Amino acid sequence: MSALLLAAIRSRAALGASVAVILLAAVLAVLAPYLPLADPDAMIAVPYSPPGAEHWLGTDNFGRDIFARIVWGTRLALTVAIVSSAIASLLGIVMGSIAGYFGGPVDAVLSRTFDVFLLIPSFFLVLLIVALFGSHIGYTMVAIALTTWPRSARIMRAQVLSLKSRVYVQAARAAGASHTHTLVRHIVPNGIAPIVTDATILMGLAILTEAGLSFLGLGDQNVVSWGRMIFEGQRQLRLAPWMSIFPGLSLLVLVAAFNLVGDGLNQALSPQLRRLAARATPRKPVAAEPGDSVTGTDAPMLEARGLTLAYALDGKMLRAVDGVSFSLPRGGSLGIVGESGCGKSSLGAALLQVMAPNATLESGDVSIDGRTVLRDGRVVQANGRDVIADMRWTSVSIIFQSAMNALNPVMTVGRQLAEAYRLHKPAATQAQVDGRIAEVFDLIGIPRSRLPAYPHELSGGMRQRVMIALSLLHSPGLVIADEPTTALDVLVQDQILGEIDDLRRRMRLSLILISHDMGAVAETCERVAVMYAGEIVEIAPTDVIFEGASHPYTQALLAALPTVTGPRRELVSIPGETASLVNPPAGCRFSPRCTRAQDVCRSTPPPRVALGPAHDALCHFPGPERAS
Amino acid sequence: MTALLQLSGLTKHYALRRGALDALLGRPAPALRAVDDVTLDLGAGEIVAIVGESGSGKTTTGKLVTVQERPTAGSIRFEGREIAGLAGQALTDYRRHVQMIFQNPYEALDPRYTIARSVMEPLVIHGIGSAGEQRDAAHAMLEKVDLRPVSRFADAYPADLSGGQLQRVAIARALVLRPRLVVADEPVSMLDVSVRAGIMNLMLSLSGELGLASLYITHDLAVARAMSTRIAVMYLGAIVEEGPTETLVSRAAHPYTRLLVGAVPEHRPGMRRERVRLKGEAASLTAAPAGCRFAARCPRAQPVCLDTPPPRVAVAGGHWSACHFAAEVASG
Repeated sequence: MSALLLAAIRSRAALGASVAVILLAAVLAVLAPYLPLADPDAMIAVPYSPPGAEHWLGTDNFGRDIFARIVWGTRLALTVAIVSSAIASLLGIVMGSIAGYFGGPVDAVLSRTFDVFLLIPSFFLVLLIVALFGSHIGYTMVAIALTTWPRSARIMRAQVLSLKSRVYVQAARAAGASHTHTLVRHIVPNGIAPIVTDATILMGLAILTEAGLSFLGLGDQNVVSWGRMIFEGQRQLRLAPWMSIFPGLSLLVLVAAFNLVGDGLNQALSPQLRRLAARATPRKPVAAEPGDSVTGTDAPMLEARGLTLAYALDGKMLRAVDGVSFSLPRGGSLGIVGESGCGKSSLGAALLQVMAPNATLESGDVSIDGRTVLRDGRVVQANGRDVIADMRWTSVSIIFQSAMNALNPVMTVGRQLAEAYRLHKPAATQAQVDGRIAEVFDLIGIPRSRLPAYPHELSGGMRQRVMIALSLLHSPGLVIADEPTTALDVLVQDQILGEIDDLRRRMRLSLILISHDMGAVAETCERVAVMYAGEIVEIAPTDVIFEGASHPYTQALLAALPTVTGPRRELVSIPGETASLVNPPAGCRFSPRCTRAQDVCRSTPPPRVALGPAHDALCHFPGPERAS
Repeated sequence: MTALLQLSGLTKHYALRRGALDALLGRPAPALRAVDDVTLDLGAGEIVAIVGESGSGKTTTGKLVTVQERPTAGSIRFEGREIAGLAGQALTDYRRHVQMIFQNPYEALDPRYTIARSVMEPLVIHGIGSAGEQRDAAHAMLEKVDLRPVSRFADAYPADLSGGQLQRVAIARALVLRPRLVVADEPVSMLDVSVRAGIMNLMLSLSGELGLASLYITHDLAVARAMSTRIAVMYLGAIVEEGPTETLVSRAAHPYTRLLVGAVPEHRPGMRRERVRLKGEAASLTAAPAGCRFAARCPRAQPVCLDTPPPRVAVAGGHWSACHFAAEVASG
């Protein structure tokens, strides 16, 4: 946490300055009685002296030193900030946790209480309390806390609601832990980060409220407050502007500092915001050359050479796809398999050039349907437009894993298909649009009666079929399916893979199926590429991969796979962990886990060895599994 | 011999919201029949797999056994004692003997706890041993799940470990109390193939070594086959077939099981199998079905299937199927 804080401070100058301001204020507040300052209440100097050598910030109408009063005012401001936000946060944490954890009627009652407190205009409540109990600073702080605690309570409630379904909370309960143990040991400590962030904002708010009250003459008369200084100064604004300007500035700077720190903490503690901030510098595009477009059916559907994609992550470049080459003939089907983090999805994104903002294509050439879309890692443009942009969806389309996220939840699927169709054919008549949509629905076996349905009204399988229909809308020659059935049940998965397979054969589609599931790929694809740590380690016709694999990783994956139809055998696990892409092993990336590894494997990157027709492996010692 | 765990007529219904009109007319709220009359025995040291798709009630069954949920009806007996109504100290004692391993290893451990502290926690909760003994027990357990050298892992935090390592820690935590039964809910489904086999082998060897019984919940028939001696197949809240693992996989006597076996995508050398062609998807049940709950989608359904609930038909020793035509299905 402190490391994160440091990182956040380093990365943002404003945040650093804010922290410095708060620290300075704290030091001044603590040391005020010991500093060689004039007595803030002594009316000994000449009234209305402008700022000068003797009184740095001048004096007020009673001849009091304004600099001394501002320093003493810091004391009050910080006390108010800390005490009120502490009371508010504590109250919020307790009430919010109880409401979120126990739920039901407890939550109903408490949540309404939060709402009621939030509805009370805060200034009004503070005025009421001050009017009833007098203007002691203690009451003011309690009053401020009472108007702000529901904020913390609501945040905490939301935190607890999400945390209580976490597995480790369930696990503690299942192990026999009491409610108190679970709440105090697991839920609250993990949930208070946003409360801490919000507390800094609350601090700024508290200082402002106190100043406002003092400005209205409702503050404690016995302490020095910036608010009262401004109040007293505003009557002499023409005569002695310094009387209100300097406390006003102090107020502004301190409150702004608290808010900036709050923002900074939020940024530092939320990984999503940090990732948003990361961006890769885009490479300059290049113009298309005459040889970039090959017409006719000789060219392969897809050709990738040396494709490399890297993510900028915490200042390092992480190569998720590293020098990948393959080609896919027209009407062919290629499965890309690999474990999580091997780069298979990044490869799909790189082919279509739809990457995250922190990703960049470092090198490689890609041509689709005879047109070069990437040359030497640079996007190819024609007439000022990316070539790939015109080809997406018309020549090549993609099916994503999560249909629920890819579809717009507030639009019927029929309308979404119509919009997608018009995007590329703006001149189409309504009849043409309807006709085409009905065609693709028939193609993939969705009843036309489902057109007016919203995505949530469809089952998981139907939603995935809608995604497939969407991808086929403009009759592309190539479809890239990224884990299209992973979230689905076995029976539905099998039907949909069957339908994809059927369509491909009927329509002579080319297909790239990206999957973690060797079995799914085995039955749908003619060729299989196995990826490990960003590289294709073996590529071969499907039967060869499953019956005569040459790369030790492919062999190990197959030996680790349980089977339903084959003979029951003991599963062999692969030792070690998947190679890190940030710091890939020297030599062969699989060598630390490979049972066949020699010294050369650990020092020299392996060559790509051709082993048969359309079969090669990235290995120093490829070959059939040795009996061990 | 009494079984270690006996579920009989176990039922869990969740009340659904009813519309304002239904409430006014006094119509009862519909109930989601998550688990419907499940009867299953588990012997000491035995591993039984519950296989089913999402919504089959397999996870709810696990939650009922670990008393994270309370049954609507039916009984759960552990070593002959009724569990369904347990509370207070008796429940805490029960939880010492029955532990759970969850699906998601990345969320299984408190991110603020060191690995050793997480593994120790059950001992702390139950007040077993001194602080030093708890620490020693945790270290011994980490050794058992092959997290070596223990010194490297004990003081690490969950963020420093991979998914496979985290699941090993979760197993260590579940076993540190030396339970007699472990309910494992899809413990490997979020792991990569290469680490999956390691976890499966570890669970198998620990079960043998500690004489541990397991209820292994999974959607993956291939995993179930590798892990269990017996399989119970659930569909829409009910067990539709149960039998010894190999028999059930090779000679399934329920059309649903047959489909499940057939749908597992695998490289089958030299053959192209028929893909599944099936009507609809498994919905959820809100009313007791008139006939067989699979009838609407069953490729073999006859008129009798639609109006008469199928009986439990014994096909062979310890192998039964809830199907009117179990014998025909079993013979292919």
